[in-house]
Amino acid sequence: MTTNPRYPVYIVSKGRADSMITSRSLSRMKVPHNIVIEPQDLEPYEKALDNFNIRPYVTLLVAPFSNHGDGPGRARNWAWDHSISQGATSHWVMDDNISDFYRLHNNMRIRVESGVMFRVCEDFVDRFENVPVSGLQYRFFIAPNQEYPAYVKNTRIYSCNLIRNDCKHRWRGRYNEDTILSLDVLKDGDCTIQFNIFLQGKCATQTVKGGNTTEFYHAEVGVDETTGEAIKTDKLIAVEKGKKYNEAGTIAKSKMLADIHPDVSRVVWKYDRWHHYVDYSPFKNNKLILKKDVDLNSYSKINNYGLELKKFITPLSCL
Amino acid sequence: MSNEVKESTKYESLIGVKESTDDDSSPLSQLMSEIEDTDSSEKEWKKMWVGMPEFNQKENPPFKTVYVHFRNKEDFDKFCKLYKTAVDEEQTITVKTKSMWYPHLNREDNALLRWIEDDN
Repeated sequence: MTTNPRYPVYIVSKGRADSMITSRSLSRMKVPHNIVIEPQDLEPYEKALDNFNIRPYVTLLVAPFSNHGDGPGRARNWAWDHSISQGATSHWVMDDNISDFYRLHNNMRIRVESGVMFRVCEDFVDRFENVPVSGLQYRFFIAPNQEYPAYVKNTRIYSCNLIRNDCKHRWRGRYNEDTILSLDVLKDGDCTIQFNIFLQGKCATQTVKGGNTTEFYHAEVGVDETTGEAIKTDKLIAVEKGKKYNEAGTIAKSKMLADIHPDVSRVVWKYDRWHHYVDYSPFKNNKLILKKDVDLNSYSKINNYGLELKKFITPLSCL
Repeated sequence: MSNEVKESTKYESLIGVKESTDDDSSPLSQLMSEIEDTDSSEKEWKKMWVGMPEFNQKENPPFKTVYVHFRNKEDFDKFCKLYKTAVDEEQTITVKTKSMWYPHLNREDNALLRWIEDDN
């Protein structure tokens, strides 16, 4: 038996038919999902569904645009439109490089092999009137021996987002659209919720070819100070030996955020690459508002949604 | 497969857009002026987290961490060998080892565990 998310799941993917990391992970969990691709990618993705044996769980959706250079936000907005067309009130939208999903509990991060984890998040968020955007924390930001709450509110939501379709903002920006959307929501006085109880195992930025790695990070060498546009090269940049990143490849990304939300963002050089620093403290008192028909006293203290910890003989295998 | 859904909005790439920070009526300025010191963290999440899966995640630091210094490579090699033969045969220490646990931490144990949905 498996409980799946109530809301449709979308993965936005480009040039990654040979990896399809998130899709393989969701298929292993038997979670049906959509992959939004551009027309030129249809053939390789069709083949990949059979190569990876994931066709039963995947619907390929071909977006009505290609190679626009605006980043993944445009396809995410189209996925949003698609979910509305299906009558959904919320939807999940995920990056295409999430290798696993985990539950944090009792100082361990253990893989979850059921779509019920998404249902838990949906049920929790649906208790509130003012949480248009929520999502999962990254596994690598959680140290198993430290204390954490089950969720943190009013911070940025990256890579695996549950979005209410009536959210008044949309994805915008060529880069950093996750942070821009989170800040747009928070500046309205609304809340975001980032779950710690469930985590996403994300491959690091610029380590999976295709997607933004090919389109931006390994193709750009800086940013034009006057126009804000990225300075591109004709060919992909080889990352220097001994380094994980093209150092210049994230400057345009960080600068855009500082330009759009300058009151809370700035650009910093850290860990051999450009980063953005965002101050979320102005939003710490944005309060969660329970829906009128939600009575917390009516719930049993714990509902484990049928989740059980089981030991298997062999380590997790990919499909 | 479907491309019948039309885009409802024109995408804003925001290239070259710069917002100003000077506006006192900006949403952020209004939020800042309303800030009160309400520590909502632990009490709030526990109050809200009823009817949800159990979550127990307390601070669990090591009892004691000892830094061991070696004067030269010979001493280090001797220590590695002694440790493996006399203390823990499953623990291999190399020049790349930054830390280790005693008893040995078997990472594979957790890799064999999975949260699944029961059949009932």
